[in-house]
Amino acid sequence: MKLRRSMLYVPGNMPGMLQNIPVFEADGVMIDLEDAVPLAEKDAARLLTRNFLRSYPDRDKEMFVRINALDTPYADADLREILPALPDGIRLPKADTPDVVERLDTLLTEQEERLGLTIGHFKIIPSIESALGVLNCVATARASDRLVALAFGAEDYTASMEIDRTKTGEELFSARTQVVWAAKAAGMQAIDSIFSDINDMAALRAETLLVKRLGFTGKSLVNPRQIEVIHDVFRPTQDEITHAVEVMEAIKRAREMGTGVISLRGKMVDAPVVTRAARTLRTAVAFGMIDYTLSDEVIHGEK
Amino acid sequence: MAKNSLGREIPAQWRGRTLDPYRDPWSRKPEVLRATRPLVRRNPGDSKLLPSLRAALEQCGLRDGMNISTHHALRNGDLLLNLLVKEMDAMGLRDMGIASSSVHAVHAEIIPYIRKGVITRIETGVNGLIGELVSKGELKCDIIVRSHGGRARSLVTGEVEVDAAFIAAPCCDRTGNINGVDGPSACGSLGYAYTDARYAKKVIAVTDHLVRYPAAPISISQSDVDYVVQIDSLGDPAKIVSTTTRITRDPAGLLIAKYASEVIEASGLLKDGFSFQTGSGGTSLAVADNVCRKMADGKIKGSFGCGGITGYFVDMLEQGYFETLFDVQCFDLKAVESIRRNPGHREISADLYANPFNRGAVVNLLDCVILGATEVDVDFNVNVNTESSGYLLHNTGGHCDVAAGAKLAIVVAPSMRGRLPIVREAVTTVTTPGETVDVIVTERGICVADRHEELKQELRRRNLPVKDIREFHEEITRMTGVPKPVEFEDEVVALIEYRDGSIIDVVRKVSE
Repeated sequence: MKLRRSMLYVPGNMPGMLQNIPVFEADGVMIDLEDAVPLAEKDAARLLTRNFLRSYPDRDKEMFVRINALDTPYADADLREILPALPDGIRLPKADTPDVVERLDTLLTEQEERLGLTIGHFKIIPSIESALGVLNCVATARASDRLVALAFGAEDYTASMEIDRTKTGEELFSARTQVVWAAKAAGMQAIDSIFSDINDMAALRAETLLVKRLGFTGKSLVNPRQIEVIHDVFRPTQDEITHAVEVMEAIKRAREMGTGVISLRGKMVDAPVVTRAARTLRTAVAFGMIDYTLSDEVIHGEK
Repeated sequence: MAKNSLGREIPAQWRGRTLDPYRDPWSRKPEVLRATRPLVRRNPGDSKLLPSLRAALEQCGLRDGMNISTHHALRNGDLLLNLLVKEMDAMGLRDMGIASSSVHAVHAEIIPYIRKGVITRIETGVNGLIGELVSKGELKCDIIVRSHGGRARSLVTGEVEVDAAFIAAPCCDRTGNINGVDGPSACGSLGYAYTDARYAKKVIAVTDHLVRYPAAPISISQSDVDYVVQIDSLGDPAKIVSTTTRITRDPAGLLIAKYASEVIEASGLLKDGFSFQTGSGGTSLAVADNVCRKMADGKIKGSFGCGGITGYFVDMLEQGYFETLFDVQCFDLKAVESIRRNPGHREISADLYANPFNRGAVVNLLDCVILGATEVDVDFNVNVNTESSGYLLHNTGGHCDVAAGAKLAIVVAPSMRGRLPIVREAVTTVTTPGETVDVIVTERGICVADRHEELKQELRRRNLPVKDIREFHEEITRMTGVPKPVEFEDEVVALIEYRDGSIIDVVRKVSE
C-alpha cells in the first residue's frame, strides 16, 4: 500500500522552498503551478519545477505537479514542460466532471507516446473542489485507470458554495462523506483538504482525527511543520496494533477449529472485524511500526 | 610566519607581541602567578563619590596608551562606553585601548574617535561596523578577539592590564556595592564585570540609580570599588534586555532542532542530572523545547543550565526541568525578573563560567551544548567571527569555551544560506577547533566526529541521516557550486585568540 498521509504543496516559483523538498518527510509533494503562482511567473515556475525534478533523481517521495486547470491557457504548456522531467503524476484542479479527467488522460497518453513511456506511467489525483465536483465525484473516480486517489479541496468548495469554512468543519461533512464514498467505491484513497492556519496545531490535529474517522487516509498540507501532526494522527496507536494482532491470532485459532467466528474477551470476531484488523496491521507495517506477515488464508479463510 | 596545528599561518610577532601559535585545546598553561592590584586603605568618612566621569577619568590618573574597560550586559542599550570615549577625547588622551568584555553595534559611535587616534586598540571581539571597516582597511585599530573565558583569563594572568574599569551599575550605593537587578537600567547578571572588579587597577562604579546604603543584594562589593559616579542614564532600557528571539517557525530550522534533540537522546547523556547550554537563536530554542519534551516524557530531572539566559530557560527552571541556572548574562526581562527573586537562578562570573586557567570552570561540567556557526568545515572547525565575505562581524561569546568544556558539543546550522554553502572545505576563520566539536547538525544531514563511532552507529540505528562530512560537503557544493574564494592581503588586522591565549587564527585585510 502506497502511503499518502501527507501531500505537501510547494510553490513552483520559489527556489528556496523547492531545494528543501528532499529534506522533509512528507509522503508526497505537489509542486504547485496553479494558485500559488502569479500569472506573470507561470513560465518561470514551469522551468524551475522542471529543472528541480531533473536534479532530484533519487526520490524518496512521490512527486506530483499541480498544473493549471485544463480550461486555462496555461495547462498545455505546463504538461509539455513538466512531463519530460518525469513527475509521478498530476494533481488536477477543478475536476468538476469526469470529462475533465478523461481529457487529461488523453493528454497524458499523447505525452507518454511521445516520450516513449509505458502508457499509464503518469498518475492522476483529481481535486474535487466545487458543488458540481462533489455531485459528480462518483463518476469522476471511475473516469481513468490513472487515478490513485480523490482529493477534496475545501477552500474552493466553500467558495463555490458561497459559505465560510470553519475550523470545526460541519459545513464540509456531507461533501467529505460523498468524496470518501466515491473513492472507497472505486477502490482508491481519499485525501482531505489543506488546513490553512499553520500555527494552530491543535485544530489541525482535531480536523485530521475527524477526517481519519470518516475514512480519509491522508491530507494535503501547506507547511512542512504540519507533517508531524498528520503522520501522528494517521499512525495506528499501539493499542490498536495490539488488538489487531490479538484478532488475527483469535481468527487463526477459529479457522483451525473450522469456524469463521470466535469470541475475543466477550466480543464477537467475524469477517468485518478481521478485515479492519488486517487493515490496521497493513498500515502499521507500511509505517514501519511492526514486522508482521499477513496471510490471506487467515483473513478470508480457505476457499 | 609559522603554521599552527590547524594549518593557519600565524605571524611570529604582531604589534610588538610575540605570538604563541595554537597547538591543542588542553595543554597550554603558562607558569605565572595570578595578577593582582594595588592595595588601598579606606578610613571611616572617606568618600568615594565623584561628580562626573571626567573627574573619575582624572582621578584614575589615566595617561596616553592605557586601557579602560566596560562590561556588555547592557548590550545594544549601553551608553557608557561612548560617553567615556568622548570624555577621553576631550581630555586629550590618545592611543587608548578598550578592554571591554564586548563591543556592540551601538558602539559604532566611537568610530570617529578611532580615526582621530583616541582609540587604537580593542582587546575584545567586536560586533558590527567597526570590524567590517577594520577588515576593509578603512579603519586602523588593532583587534584581539577573545572568548568570554579567554577574556577572563587574560585579566587573571595579567596579559591584559585594565587601568580603569568603569562598571555600569544598574543599582549602587555610595560605597560601591552593586547589583544588576534594580533600577531603570536593570540588566540582571553582572557576570562579565566581576573579573574587572577583582583585577583592574582602579574600579569605578557608574550608576543612574544611587540608593541608600546598603544596595542589596551585593553582586560586586564595596571592598573592590574605588570610586562611584552618578550619571543621568546608563543606557536605553528598551535595548538593554531586548532579545526577542522566539522558537523558529522555519520548517528547516525545526527539522535541524528535531535532529539535534535526537542526537542528544541517542548520546545517552539525557538522564537525571543532565546539564545543558543553548543559545538564544530560534533554532537553539527549538532544540531546548524538544529536549524539554523528551525530559518530560522520560521523567528526567536536569541539574543545571548555563550561559546567557533567556525566558525560555527560566521556564525550564520554573517547570522543574533544571534545579539551577548559572547566569553570566540575562538576555531578556523575564531572565532579569527571575534572577531577582529565584534563588535557583544564580549569577556567576565569566571567570567561574569559562576561564580555563582557574581551579575549575562550570563549562567543564556541561553534558551538552548547542552552538551556532557562520561556517563549518570538513575538519569540524567552526567559524563564528567572520562571514564568507571575510569581514570580522561577530564576537566569539563563549563558543570555544563551552565546546571545549562540554561532553557533547553540537553545532546547528543550515547547510546553505542563500546560495552559499555553510559546510566548507576550510572555514574562513577558525573560532573553535574541530577537536572540541562533536556533531554538526544540518537539515540535510548529521555529521559526527570520527572519535564518536558508537554515537554514529546509534544514530544510524535510529534511521537518522548520518553522513560523512567530506561526502556531505561534496553533496552541498554540488548544489551550490564552489564560491569564488575571498582574496586577502597579507596584513593582519585582528587576532583570534583561543581561550588559552594561543593564536588559533588571524583576520587579514580583505582585498577590495
